[in-house]
Amino acid sequence: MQRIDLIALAVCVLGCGVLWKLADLADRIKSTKWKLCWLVLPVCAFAITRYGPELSLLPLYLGTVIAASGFFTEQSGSRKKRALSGAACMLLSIPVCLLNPRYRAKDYLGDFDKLFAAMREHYVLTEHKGIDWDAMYAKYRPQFAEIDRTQDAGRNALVWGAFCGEFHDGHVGYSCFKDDNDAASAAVREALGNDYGLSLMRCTDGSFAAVNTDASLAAFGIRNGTVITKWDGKTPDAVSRSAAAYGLSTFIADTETGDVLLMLDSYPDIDNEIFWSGVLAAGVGGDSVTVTYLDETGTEQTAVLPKIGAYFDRLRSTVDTVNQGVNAGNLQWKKLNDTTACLRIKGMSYDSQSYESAEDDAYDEMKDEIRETILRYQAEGVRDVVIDLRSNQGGSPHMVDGVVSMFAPKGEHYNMSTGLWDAEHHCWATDTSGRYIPNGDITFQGEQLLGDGRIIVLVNSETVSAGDDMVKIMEGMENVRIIGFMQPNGSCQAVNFQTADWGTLSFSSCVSLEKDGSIFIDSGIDRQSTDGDGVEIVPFDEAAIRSLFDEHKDYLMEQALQMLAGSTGAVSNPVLD
Amino acid sequence: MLDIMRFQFRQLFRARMVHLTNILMLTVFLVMLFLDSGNHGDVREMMTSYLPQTLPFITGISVFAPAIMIAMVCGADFEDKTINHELTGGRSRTASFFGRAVPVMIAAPLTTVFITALPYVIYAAAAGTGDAIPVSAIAERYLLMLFPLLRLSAFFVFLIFVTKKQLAVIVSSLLVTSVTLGIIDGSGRAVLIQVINRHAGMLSISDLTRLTRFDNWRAYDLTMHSFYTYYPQLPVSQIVLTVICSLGMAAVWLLLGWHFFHVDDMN
Repeated sequence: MQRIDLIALAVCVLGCGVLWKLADLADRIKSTKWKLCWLVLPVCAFAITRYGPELSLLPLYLGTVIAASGFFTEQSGSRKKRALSGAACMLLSIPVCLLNPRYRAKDYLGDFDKLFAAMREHYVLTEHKGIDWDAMYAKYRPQFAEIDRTQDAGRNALVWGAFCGEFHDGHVGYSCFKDDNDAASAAVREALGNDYGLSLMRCTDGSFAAVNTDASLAAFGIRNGTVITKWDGKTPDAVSRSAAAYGLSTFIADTETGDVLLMLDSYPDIDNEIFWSGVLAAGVGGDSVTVTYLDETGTEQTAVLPKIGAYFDRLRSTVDTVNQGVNAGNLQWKKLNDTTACLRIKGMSYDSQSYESAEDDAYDEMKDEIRETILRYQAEGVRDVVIDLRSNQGGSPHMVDGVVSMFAPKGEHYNMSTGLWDAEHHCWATDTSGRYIPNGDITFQGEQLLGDGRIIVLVNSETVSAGDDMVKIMEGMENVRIIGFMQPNGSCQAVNFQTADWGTLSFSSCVSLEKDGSIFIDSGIDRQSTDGDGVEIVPFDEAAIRSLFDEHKDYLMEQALQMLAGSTGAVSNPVLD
Repeated sequence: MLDIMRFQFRQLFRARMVHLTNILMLTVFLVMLFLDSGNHGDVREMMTSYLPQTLPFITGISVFAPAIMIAMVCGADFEDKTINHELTGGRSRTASFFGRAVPVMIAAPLTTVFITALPYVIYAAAAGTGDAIPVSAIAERYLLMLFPLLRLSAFFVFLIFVTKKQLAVIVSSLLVTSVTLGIIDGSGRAVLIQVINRHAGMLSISDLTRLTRFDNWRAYDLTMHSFYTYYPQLPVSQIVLTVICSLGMAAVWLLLGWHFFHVDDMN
C-alpha cells in the first residue's frame, strides 16, 4: 500500500478512537455543536491523498460514513458502536488494496492513446517524414497495453523513447513525471549496458577508436586512440545497432534536481547518427567481452575485458567531453587572445518578456549589450569572434535575428517564413500539392559590426531548433566559417506539448517554412536536414582524441583559433559513410 | 411551508444587498470583458473565442453571489430572531428549514448562471458570436453548471444553519473563490489548494472549474500569433458524474443541515 493511503487509514482509524471517547464527553456536556466532530472523518479520508479517490479504498470511505452517521444520534452507546463498526470497515481496505492488482494503477495505455491522438492530429511533419500512423499505432499500442498490465514504469520510458526515436526529429520527446523518474532512469541505465573500461568513437576515416579508457586497460596496451576492429567478433557499428538503447530518443534526469544528465537522440540527420554510431557499442556484452584491436605496431590483438560496472557514467563523460563548450553563461563573452573573443550562446532566450514577442524592438536591450561589448573589444584590438553554439538548446528565432543582425553584412536578410493558419479546418493551410502555404517572411537588418573581422561558429549535434536556424542563416555569410566534429541537429519547427496523467510529449506542431513553402531545415525521409551543408567538419582523429581525452583540451576551439591564425586542419564536408 | 417559501422569494426580490451585489458583479464582468481585448491584441475577439479565456475567472468570482443570497435570506433571519419567532409561533423546524433552503437553492444557481451568462450575451451583441465553439456547447456548460452550483448552495445552507452567522458564509465563499481562482491561474501549487482541487466533490469547486474549461490546442506562428482549436464535447462520464455527485452531495448537505437544525438549541 502507498504510504499516503496508510496514513489516511491510520488517521481515520485513530479518529474512530477519538469519536469513541468523544461519545461519552458529548453525553456529559450537552451541545449540538459536538455533532460537527462526527463530520471530520469523511473529510480526512478524501483529503489525505496524492492521486485522488481509489476504488480499493472503498471500505475506508464506507467506514468513515458509518462512523460519521453518529452525527444523527445523541446516544453514547450507538455512537460508540458506529465508531467501532466504522474502524472495522476501514481496516478491510488493507486486504482489498493488497489483493487488488489494479490498486493505484497508472493508466499508461490511456496516456498513450491520448498523446498518440494529439500527435497524430497536430504533428506537422507527417508527410515530410513519411509517418505511417496506423503502423505506429499497431506497433506500439500492444506494448503500452502490456506496460499498463505490468505497471512497469521503466519499460514505459523505454518504449516512449523508442516511439519518439521513430520520428528522427529533435523536437519529439517524452518526459515522465517525477514519480516515474527513478524507474525510468534505472531502465535507461540498464539499457545502456555494462562498462568494460572504454567508450568507442567512430573516427572520420571510418575506423573505431577507444576513448575515455580506464587505467586498467593499459595492461593490454589499449589507450585513448587505439583502433578497435571487432567487439565480440562483430564490427562496432553493427554491435551499436544491436544495443538496447539504439534508436531511443530519451534522456536520464537527476532524480533529485530534475536536471538532464544524459540525452540519447535518434538524430534527424543521418550524418550525426553515423558519427555517434560507435558509442553505444561499448556497453553491449555479458560478463566479459572479447575486443580485437590494433597494437602500436599495427598488429591485431585480442583481449577479454571483464565488466567493471554500468556503462552510464563512462558514456556520459564521453559525450560531455566530445560535446564540451566554453564554460560561460548564456550570452557571456570570453576573451580568447588579443585578437579574438568568444560569445557563448547556450539557448536562444534573453528574458521572458522578449521571448514571447515578435516585435522588432523586442531584443533591443540584448542588441545594445552585444553592440557595446563588441565596440569595447574592438577598442582593445579584438578583430575576430568565435560564437560557441555547441549544445545550444534553441528558443526564439527572433533572438537569432537579433544576434545575427550584429554580425551580418549591412542590408536586409531573410531568416524563414511563417505558415498560414486555416481557421476553418484548424490546421496549417496547404496547397493542392500538400505543400504548406507561407504567410510572410521573417527578416532582419544586418549591422556588420565586426567590419571585415572573421567569425567562426562552433556546432555539434545538440545545436538544435533556433540553434539550427542560426547555423542556417550564418552559413551563407562570407565572413563566417562554421566548424564542428558533426552537423547541427537539423530540427527547426516550432514545438508544442501535450500532457497526460503520467508524462508529457513534445513534438513539432507549428510550421517554419522556406520561401517556397517547403519545410525549413528539418530532415525528411532521406534524413538529410537542409542546414549544415556549409559546416566544415573537423576530423575526429587520433589528434582530436588525444587532445580531448588525454590532454583534456577544447580541441574544436583550438582548431578555430588555428583557423583564425591561418593554419587549419578542417576538411570541408567529408563523406562519412 | 409554502407561505414561508413565498415570503423568502419575495424577500429575495426585495433584498437591496442581493441586487446590489449582482449588479456590481455584472458591471465588473462587463468592464473586464470590454477592457481586456484577449489574445488577439487590439482586435476584439468574437464571443465564442473570448469566452473560454475568461469564463473560468468570471465563474470563480461569481460563487460569491449564492453566498450573499443565502447569507441575506437565511442568515438575516437568524440574526434578527425571525426564525425564533416563527418556531415559537408554532411552525415546525422542518418547515422553517426547507421553507428557506428550497427557495435559495432554486434562486442562487439560476441567478449565478444568469449573471455569468448575460455579460457574454451583451459582448456577443457588440463583438459578434463567432464560431470557435458552438453556442449549443456553451449552453450545455451553463446548464451543467447549475448542478455544482446547487451543491455549493446546499453547502452554504448547511453552513448558515450550523453557524447562524452571515459572516461565516461570506468568508467561506471568499475562500471558495480564492481557491477556484488559485486553481484557474495555475498558482494552485500550494498543498491545500491541490488537495481541495482533487477532492472538492463536496464543495463543487473542481467540477465548476472543469465545466468552465474548454479543452484546446494552441498553435502559434512565427509572429507569435496564437490559434486555438477547441474541443467542447464533454465526456458522457463527466456529465453523469457531475449530475449524480452534485445531486447526491446537495442532498447530503441538506440532510445534515436539517438534522442539525432539527435538534439545535435556538437560544
